[in-house]
Amino acid sequence: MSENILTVLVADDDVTNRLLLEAILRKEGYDVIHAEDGREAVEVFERERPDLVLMDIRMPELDGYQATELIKAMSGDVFVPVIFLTANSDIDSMVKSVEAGGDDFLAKPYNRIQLQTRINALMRIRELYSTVRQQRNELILHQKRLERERQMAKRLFANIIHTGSLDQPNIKYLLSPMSLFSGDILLAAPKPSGGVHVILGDFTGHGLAAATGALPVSSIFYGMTAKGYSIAEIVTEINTRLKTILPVDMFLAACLIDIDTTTHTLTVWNGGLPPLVVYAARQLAVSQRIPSQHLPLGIIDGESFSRRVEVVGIQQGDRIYICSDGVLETQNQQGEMFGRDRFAALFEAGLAPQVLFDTILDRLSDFQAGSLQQDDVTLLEICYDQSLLEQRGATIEEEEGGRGRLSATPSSWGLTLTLTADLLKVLDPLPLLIQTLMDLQGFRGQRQQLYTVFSELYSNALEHGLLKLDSSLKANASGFVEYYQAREQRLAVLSEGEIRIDIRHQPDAGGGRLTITFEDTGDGFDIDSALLPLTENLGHAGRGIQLLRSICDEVTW
Amino acid sequence: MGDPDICLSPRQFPQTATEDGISFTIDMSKASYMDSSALGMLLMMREHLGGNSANITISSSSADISNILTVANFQSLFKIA
Repeated sequence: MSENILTVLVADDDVTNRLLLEAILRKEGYDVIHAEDGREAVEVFERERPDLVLMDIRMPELDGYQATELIKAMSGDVFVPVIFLTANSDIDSMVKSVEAGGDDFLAKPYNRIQLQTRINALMRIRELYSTVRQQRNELILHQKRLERERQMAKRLFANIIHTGSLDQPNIKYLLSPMSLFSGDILLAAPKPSGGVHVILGDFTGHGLAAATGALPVSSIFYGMTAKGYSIAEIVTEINTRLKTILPVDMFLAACLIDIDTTTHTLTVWNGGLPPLVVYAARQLAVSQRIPSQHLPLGIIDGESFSRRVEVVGIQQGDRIYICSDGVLETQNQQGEMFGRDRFAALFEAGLAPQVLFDTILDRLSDFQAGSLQQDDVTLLEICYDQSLLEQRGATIEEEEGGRGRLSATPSSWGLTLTLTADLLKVLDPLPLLIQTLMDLQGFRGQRQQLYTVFSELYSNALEHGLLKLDSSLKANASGFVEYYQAREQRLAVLSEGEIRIDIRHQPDAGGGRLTITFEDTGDGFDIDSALLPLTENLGHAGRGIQLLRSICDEVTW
Repeated sequence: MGDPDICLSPRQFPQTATEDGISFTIDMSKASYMDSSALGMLLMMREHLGGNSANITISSSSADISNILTVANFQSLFKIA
């Protein structure tokens, strides 16, 4: 109980009674205030806010019941005990007292011990009541503050993670996080060479912990994609970072894909997610199913990590589907899971690709039929539409705008680089080279064009020069796959040969002139077959040199 | 991914674990399903039992559980019997 002196209001029209009670109460150490009738009792209560009220029943103006009702209404959620003073304890007045909000009775003649006991009991309740109220208020305050922080963090999170270029007419997705922060992550970013990178990931658990893990994933994914790194390199970097920061029992099941509009290929790394599905628009059937082939990210160290990717061909109008296991684990009201078989069956009904995504959503929601969502559910559909995917690369480049460390003033410089077979096996030099060039000269808004020129020259030198691959293989989609498999195999056993790259920059009247020379130790190539005009060449291969001509002032060999 | 139905803390794993050359078998015959948090628990157990040197076999898995272990490629970390 509190140390403070308690104030008791005595409301009684009989002055003798008031003085008698006051004497008893003062002796017990209370402060006493008086009221001569019901109305005065209410007024004094409002002004003085006593801790306890002793209330006579029969009084002029307002009687004890009415005054008590008003006092109780005035005290709100503060508990002010009211003890009725009664001449006799008849049932009728007892019922009325309780109805009016009375907490106890005291029968005349007043007994000191009895009064003290009643007051003590009620004060204990009052104390308890006030503790509960205080804790409740603190809880409400705490909850409000937490909610504000969560909302703020959510906005911050959304800005950092932002869905990138997901809002495209050829991309459909469902992201339904269980809590404010999702344990699922879905990001897309255009590649500087055309096409797009996408990652769909599913962290162990959900909520804040999972969302925090998503932050480094998004910065690595966006940063490395913009610099031109391949998904094999990106996934390796993400794994290394997550292995360092995640607790042992937390990991990221993820699927990274690279959709390349130049080569019409889909490159996939799937670690721990349900199979990626490619639905062929022409055959109205599944043309590829790429199951998980790796451990999820953040479990094993760099050395044993496998960055091996699958490359498959893809055609205009084909649909690519990736989902988190929450889709397969969607439960119906009987607790049964949607499961792999039902999911696979959706792709076997020969549906038009345009309606497939919505059909999947409908079936899932019919199945679930209002039962509670158990896990984060993420489903993604990308329609392979060459023109749309190519447009994106261009817009992002404008946003990036020159960040060159040297001034934009053209200056004179040059650099030479020799890449040996040993180095070529483990390193894709393009992102490094392009970054160096951007840093040196700040080629404002030209990253994509630079990237295209370098990547055409580089793949020509490597694939045809050193690896002696024949691009006629790439006449159809399956040949593409064969081509890239051969590229991987031959590169792995490459033991000799080198590529020399020489880059010179000279200021001239129109700004600056960049001269890029690629030289390889291979057999050289037949230039005539590479020179079909672009407009007459709708095939999968041989567009490199024409592409270079369209960007460069001069192309020689 | 979801939450586990049961919670194990590493303290509950056997203390003899740190000794070398002991193999462990996790009997899955009474488990009907497993989510990613349960996979996380297996990883925690593996770490506790020596990480790469741990010798752990997961046995008697149902078809669903086998599939989950395969999707996560856990056969590269555990022996699947």
